[in-house]
Amino acid sequence: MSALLDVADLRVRYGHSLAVDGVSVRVGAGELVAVAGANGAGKSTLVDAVAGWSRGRPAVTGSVRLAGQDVGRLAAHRRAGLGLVLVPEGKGVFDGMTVQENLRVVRPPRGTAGRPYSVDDVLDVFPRLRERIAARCSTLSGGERQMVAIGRALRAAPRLLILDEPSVGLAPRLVVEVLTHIRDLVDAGLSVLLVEQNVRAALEVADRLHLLDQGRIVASGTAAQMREDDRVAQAYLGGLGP
Amino acid sequence: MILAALVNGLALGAGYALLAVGWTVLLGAARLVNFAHGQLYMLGAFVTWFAISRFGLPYGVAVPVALVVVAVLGVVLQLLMTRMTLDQNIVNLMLVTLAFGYLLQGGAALLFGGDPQTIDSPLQQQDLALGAARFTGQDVLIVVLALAFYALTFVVLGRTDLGRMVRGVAEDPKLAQLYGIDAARVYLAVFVFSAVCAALAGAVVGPRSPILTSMGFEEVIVTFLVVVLAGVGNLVGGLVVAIGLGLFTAFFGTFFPPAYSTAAAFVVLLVVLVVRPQGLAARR
Repeated sequence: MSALLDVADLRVRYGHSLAVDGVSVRVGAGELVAVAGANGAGKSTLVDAVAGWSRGRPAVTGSVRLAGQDVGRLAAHRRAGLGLVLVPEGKGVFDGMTVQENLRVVRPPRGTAGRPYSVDDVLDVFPRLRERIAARCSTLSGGERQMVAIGRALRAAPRLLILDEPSVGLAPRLVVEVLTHIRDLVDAGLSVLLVEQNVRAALEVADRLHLLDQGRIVASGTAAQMREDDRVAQAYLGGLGP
Repeated sequence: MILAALVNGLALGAGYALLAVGWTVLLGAARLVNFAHGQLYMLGAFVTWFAISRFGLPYGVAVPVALVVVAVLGVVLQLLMTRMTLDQNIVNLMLVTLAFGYLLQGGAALLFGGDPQTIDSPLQQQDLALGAARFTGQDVLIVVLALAFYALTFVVLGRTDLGRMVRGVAEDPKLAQLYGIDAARVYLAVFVFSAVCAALAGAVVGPRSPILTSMGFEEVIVTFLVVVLAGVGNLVGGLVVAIGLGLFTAFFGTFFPPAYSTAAAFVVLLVVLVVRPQGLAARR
């Protein structure tokens, strides 16, 4: 399968600390690839670097290609304009705006190859937001905020959607709901790179999974293969095998 | 006498409001400061005067010319400050804009000279009366423009995609990038808008009294006063406080020596900041 996203030998350094060490990841069209690992493994740093986004000033080397185009030197808003859209961990919405304003502030870029979602399309994906459309985001629950964050990302007509720990802080029932929505989007043709600390949940929806430890990929495979992998079972699934 | 002070205070306050609207957006919506704001006001007045006296342009054409000149200058200044702005380096921005202010003042003195000048506006010659109170067409223009600019800014910030982008960048410029918003462009637009507002204030308030290239410092202080008293970023509060400050200054000048009016306004500021640190018009 030709890769929509091709990340090769990515290294991210904060000062003397190497947070991501030579990671290569590929995501095909209509594929959901998960990156899992413990806290501090470098998962968020990896996807932030892929999106060209950071709240710090890391030194990034390696290549990031989207549909064959080198986007590694572009600013985050330019990458977003090309369809490489990140939903960051934690604060992914403007709290001071309503749900509708958050969705409307994003305009699909002209001539995009991604599917443009109207505000109504987003509300069809997340019907729960329909009744909260006029509510300020600061008043929403964690799950609703995550839906707004994903919804605004869909408005940007993503070709590749990167989701950084969408299940953090959510009740188990909401984790399932959010991840099911994500899987539905992939089944409809979207490509997703999902960062998830909850390996069990990630394996439920992912096609393939990379295990990250101390900035390096230590195991990779299809979801089925990774469920059988002893290291994954012991470290993340609470025992050997299903 | 009371009616005269009322009318004079309204015109004065509307001038303050016009001067402050840009800063309110700049500081409140975009978290930016610009201590060269007063000098941009001065340039608005002087470029208008220059276009009229040197090129013989009518006042109605000279004002847009001044706005374009100051807008271009605003673009240059903001492009020089892009990195500091994106980093929200407020201390450096204060120092750099202060330096810009002094450079603009020095440049204006070289170009326009140090003598007081008068902007020839036909509206200033147009005497109007409301009972015993006398005012000019220029006063009416200032009030109308101030109200129009506040209404326009209020609608743009609250109801348009552009306004949402500005508010988004103000809340979190890093996150805004993920929405596909070019924060540097938004900062540029807000800075230029603020500069144009200051220039417009200078161009329309200027004809009321002789203008000097040394002016601007008091104006930036008055702007600061309005923005702080209103509560940073409070647009409606800014208009109310600006008009209130104009009325206060006019009435104070009616009963006491006008030279003390700025000092008296600062006494009000001190009292307000002690009693209501969030500003006079801000909600608790």
